[in-house]
Amino acid sequence: MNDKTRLIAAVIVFGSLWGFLEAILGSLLKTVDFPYGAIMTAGFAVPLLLIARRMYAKPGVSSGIGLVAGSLAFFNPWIGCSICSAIAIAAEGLIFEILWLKIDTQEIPQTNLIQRASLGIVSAYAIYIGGYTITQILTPVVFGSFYLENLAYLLPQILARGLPAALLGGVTVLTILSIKPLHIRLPDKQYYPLTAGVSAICWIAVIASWIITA
Amino acid sequence: MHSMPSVIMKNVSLFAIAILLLSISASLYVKAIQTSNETDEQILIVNNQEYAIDKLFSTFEHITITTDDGQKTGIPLDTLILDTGLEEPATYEYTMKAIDYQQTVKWEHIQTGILSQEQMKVYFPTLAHAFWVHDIIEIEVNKI
Repeated sequence: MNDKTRLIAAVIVFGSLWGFLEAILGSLLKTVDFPYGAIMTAGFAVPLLLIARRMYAKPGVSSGIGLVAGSLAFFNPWIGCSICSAIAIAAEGLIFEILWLKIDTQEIPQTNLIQRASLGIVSAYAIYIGGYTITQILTPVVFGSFYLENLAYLLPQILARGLPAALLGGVTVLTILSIKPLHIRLPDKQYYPLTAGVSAICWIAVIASWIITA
Repeated sequence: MHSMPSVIMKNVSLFAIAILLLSISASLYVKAIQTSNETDEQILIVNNQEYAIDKLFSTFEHITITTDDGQKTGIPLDTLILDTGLEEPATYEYTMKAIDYQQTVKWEHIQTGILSQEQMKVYFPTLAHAFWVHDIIEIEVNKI
């Protein structure tokens, strides 16, 4: 199979992993009153998007991963508003795509530790507050009740809530960018069953949880 | 042979510092707002009228509604709003205000919603959880 098919398989597996983590781990963190949104974005979403970006530096990969993860979020049984979560996740993938459009991953070896941590701070903060803001706009729009003054009222809170995401993003991105990427190309015979298997497990687990709790 | 870091990479640290300053300032602002609004008086303002919270929940009847997050019990919001003497309620919109969050809903939503004493939270079974404002301090009523 060609590189395009391998890329699509990668988008599906990364998106499925992200959606699975949001549904299972994110919901657990939410119940124990953790800043789960910031942790999920900076601790899992940004690292997954970054790893995919380093492995497949092609346009559309990050937004594709966000779309797959967002689709899986529709079946998240432990949140009341799956549309809010799905929109936020898809938006986060798109924001990462735009943010990293002009960043050449080949430059990473020339950067120092502060620059790498800074990339994490900027990425995690932008993605978190971007996703949050888009949710706060689109969710009321979907329900026919959007008011700009309500968003303005919430703005300081949005900007403040991004701080834990920024700090955590600094650490996770610094860690990932300090690890040399592995250049392993699995043969098709192993690559496709592996990506299909992991994706299927993620989808089955979330959908099964959705059916059981329905 | 690698190229020199791009303009973006050279300036990324400045962006990060700006973001940290912005988010820390916002956090301090939110904390200051929350502190300045802390009060011993347990009062809810509805359509510019003050209700003592403990009295409110002992005066009005309680109902239980079913939401996608289970059953919730509280005061029917339409009863509470009509108690302020409001006429033609469908021609108004209603903003549920907490100290740092607010959402606006229509009369059709008010008719299905309740105010729960736990967390002073409003529940609307037909709306997303984003509309379930907690720690409510005021229900503002405005003509559409």
